[in-house]
Amino acid sequence: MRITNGKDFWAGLMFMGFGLAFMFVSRNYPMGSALRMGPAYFPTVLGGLMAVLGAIIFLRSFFSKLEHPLKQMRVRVYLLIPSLLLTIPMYYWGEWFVGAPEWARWIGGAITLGFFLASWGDPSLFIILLAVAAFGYLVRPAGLAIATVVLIIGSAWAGHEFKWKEASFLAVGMAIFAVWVFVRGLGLSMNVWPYAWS
Amino acid sequence: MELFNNLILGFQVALSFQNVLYCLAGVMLGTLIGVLPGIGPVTTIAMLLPLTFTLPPISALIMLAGIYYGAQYGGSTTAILVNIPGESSAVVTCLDGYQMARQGRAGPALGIAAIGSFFAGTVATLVIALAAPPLAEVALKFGPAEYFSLMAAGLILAVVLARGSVIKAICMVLLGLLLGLVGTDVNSGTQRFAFSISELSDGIGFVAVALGMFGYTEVIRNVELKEHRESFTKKVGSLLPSYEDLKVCAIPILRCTILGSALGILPGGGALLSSFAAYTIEKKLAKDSDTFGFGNIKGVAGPESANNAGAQTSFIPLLTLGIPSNAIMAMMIGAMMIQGIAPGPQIMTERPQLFWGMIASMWVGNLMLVILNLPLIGMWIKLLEVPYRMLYPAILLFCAIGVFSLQNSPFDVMQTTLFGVFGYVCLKLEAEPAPLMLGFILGPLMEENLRRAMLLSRGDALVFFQRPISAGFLIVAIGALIIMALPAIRTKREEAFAGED
Repeated sequence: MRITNGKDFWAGLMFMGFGLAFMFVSRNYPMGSALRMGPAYFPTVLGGLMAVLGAIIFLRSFFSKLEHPLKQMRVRVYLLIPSLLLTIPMYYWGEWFVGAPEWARWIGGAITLGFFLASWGDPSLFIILLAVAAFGYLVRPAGLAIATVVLIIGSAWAGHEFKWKEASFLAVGMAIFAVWVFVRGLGLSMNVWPYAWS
Repeated sequence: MELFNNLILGFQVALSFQNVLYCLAGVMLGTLIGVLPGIGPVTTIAMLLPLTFTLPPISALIMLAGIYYGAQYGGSTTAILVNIPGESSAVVTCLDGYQMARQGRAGPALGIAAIGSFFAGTVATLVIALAAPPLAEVALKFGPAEYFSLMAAGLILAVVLARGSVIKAICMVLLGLLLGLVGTDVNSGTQRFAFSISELSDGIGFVAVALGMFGYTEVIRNVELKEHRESFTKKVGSLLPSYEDLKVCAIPILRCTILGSALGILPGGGALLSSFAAYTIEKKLAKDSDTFGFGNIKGVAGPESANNAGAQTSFIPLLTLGIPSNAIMAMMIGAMMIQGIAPGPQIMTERPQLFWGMIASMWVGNLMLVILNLPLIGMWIKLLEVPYRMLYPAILLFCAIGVFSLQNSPFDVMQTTLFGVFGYVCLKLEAEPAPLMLGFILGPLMEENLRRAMLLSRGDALVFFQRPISAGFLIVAIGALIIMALPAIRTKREEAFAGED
């Protein structure tokens, strides 16, 4: 037995996983009957169908004529597992998590999301996504201007030809542009400078 | 005569000062993102949605529609001059358009692309005006069973007609449907898959899904590819094709316009499918088929007409049935829902101004594109000289601001990063993101119609086969799946999309 199609192997596993996960979570909701469908009915059917199709894709990967390597992208398991473990208490003690103090949720969320994003693929992938996530975290407390600079410099750094000077000019230019167009011009309600200053 | 009156009503709406302005903004923006590789109409529409919130619905939709067909005009410019498809539907234009540019005939290539597109746009506008009302009338008689079967058939056909593995695409549809169900269940009020996260109780934002899976993934893929461009931006020359060129291209333009209009209506159709099919057919029918790929002007005229026709007629299922046929139409449904308009056949009767105004605006937009774009080509070329490393941080910023401002929620921005990772994984595993988007939009609608149909039939699932229209849809869907499984068709389908790589 040899896995010939690495893409199908992982895709099959992924779809099976998602299908079973949706079925598993659906058990928390009433099923109802075909006549009066409960909230669990449709997702359970869809999840089941997806798990079956996922299994077919998975099995097909052993017989496929298409040759794809098993290693499709880098996955940093040492970061992925802690981040997934962190989501388990959030799932089982959801009420507690919602009731936790703001700063604790903020830090917990940042660590979970950061670890999760950083576990996938080449630096260009996760640095860009981390820069976007940082924008999301910063835009309220630090304001649009600072968040923009972080996003632009962070994502430019992910590219092949990063130049500090060029990126800084772009960051400042885009920050001014964003403030003028989106806040002054279009009137989006975002604070330009750190929230504490206002 | 009714058609005539309706079109007059449409033009009255479309030609109001404000709407002309928004139409212009839409087509210019569409051309801009069409010219720029690495950002497509799905991303742009998703980015702009929050800004359209304050506009009147008709202006918002006119502008967003303009982005889609405007992008078809812009995409050909990049394909011809730089050999990079600015837009995915311009992939086949690269083949002959770029060769023409190398032979010093960039001008005529650009000119014929614009002329073909304009002709196709005019015909497609008429097709919509003629085909939409009867379709909407039929659709008004649909019950929940018919709607459910229609959506199922639409999703399956969309998967079959798109490229890539069918079974993986069906899985993506299912995942999309499931993601669409996240949030409060309308019937019971139960919070599904929300994990006590208050932001998820309204469901996952489709802007987050679209920007993550299309926007960020596109940027990341482009950043990974090192830039390698050889452009012929200096010697464009006269844009007007010669009389000889026009004579050669007249028939292909006409043929591909009809083909594109037909393919645009199908689920999964639209600009992309139309341009591929047009190139294949023109190559087959041409007497000089051996010069295709070496700068044959018919290889530019045909696909460019077809993709514009297809882009426009893909609005037919949206406006008459409320069903998106591709990811861009899914975004348009999203735009309608943000404006509080329920997509479906009732739009034509309840909001004739919106319906006919949008149709008329497409012709107005095409006219503006052809008049403005040819003189502006110099400006677009300048834009192409901006290196991608300067562009993509700005694209990311606009995406992030767009998704944040939808609900002023940092949570939405973080959601997009998760979909960004997922979109990238899907890219590596060759699972197409577009079916997921369609499923995502249709998820709640499908569940609702399934529930209602089953309630009306007292729990008898056979109802879907007992009602003739519903049975027809399901037979088409099952037939399409069976045909797909036949080995001969499968190889043909793979060939049809082979030009992609």
